[in-house]
Amino acid sequence: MPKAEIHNEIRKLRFEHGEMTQQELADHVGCTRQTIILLEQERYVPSLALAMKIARVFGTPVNQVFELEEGA
Amino acid sequence: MIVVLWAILALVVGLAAIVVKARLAVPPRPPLPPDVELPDTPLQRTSRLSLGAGLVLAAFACGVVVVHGPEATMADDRVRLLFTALLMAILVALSGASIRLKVQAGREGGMLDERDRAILDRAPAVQGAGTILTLAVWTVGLMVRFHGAGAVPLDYVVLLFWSCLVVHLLALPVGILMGYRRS
Repeated sequence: MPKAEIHNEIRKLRFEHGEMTQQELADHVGCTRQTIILLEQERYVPSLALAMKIARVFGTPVNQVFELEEGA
Repeated sequence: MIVVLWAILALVVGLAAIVVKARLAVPPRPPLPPDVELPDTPLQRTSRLSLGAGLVLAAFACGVVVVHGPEATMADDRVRLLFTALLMAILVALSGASIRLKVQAGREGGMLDERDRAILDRAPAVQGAGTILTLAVWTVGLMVRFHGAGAVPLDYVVLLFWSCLVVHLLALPVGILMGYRRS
């Protein structure tokens, strides 16, 4: 799978939310830690449902967590 | 007869080409930075475990047939019992793991997430290719071996069935593990 053209701020937001661990975020949204790592490395594009769950954990709109790269 | 053999060989090569093309169509995921380590998912662990157990049991079953020969394996009650017991163990181990995964996949909040489910959905493609290739190899082998006799002993038909079933079962964890390398 080519590298995702969607940029995200998950890593930054985790640290801004009490240095939440990847496992804690994974537990909150119901996915594996491997998926969170691949999301942070922008190697995996989540479904809309997972993106919304992640945004809800951080209490921010989806477009502040995920952003379409310029020219994509 | 030579024409038929060539047709089968062409089929095998064609199928191999399809598999290679499929692999190229979904290239491996770009490498992660060296400091990033991916922990195994529960699905990966289950697949690795069932594949390992299945391969060990399959190797023992193959060993029994190689040591005793196909005809003696089926003729001798004790050897046939050992061979059947090994195959049953493979069937129970891999079918059990497969059913458990299917149940987990249908359960919200289970051990599988959306990525695991996508990988699990794509994995059966490997089962089809593996089974067809096994059949093709058997067909070529049986035709070469029994070309003159004009008939194939029933023992070989039983072995053909079991080998296809074992390959079919082993191909699922293989497909899953391949999926993790590519998605």
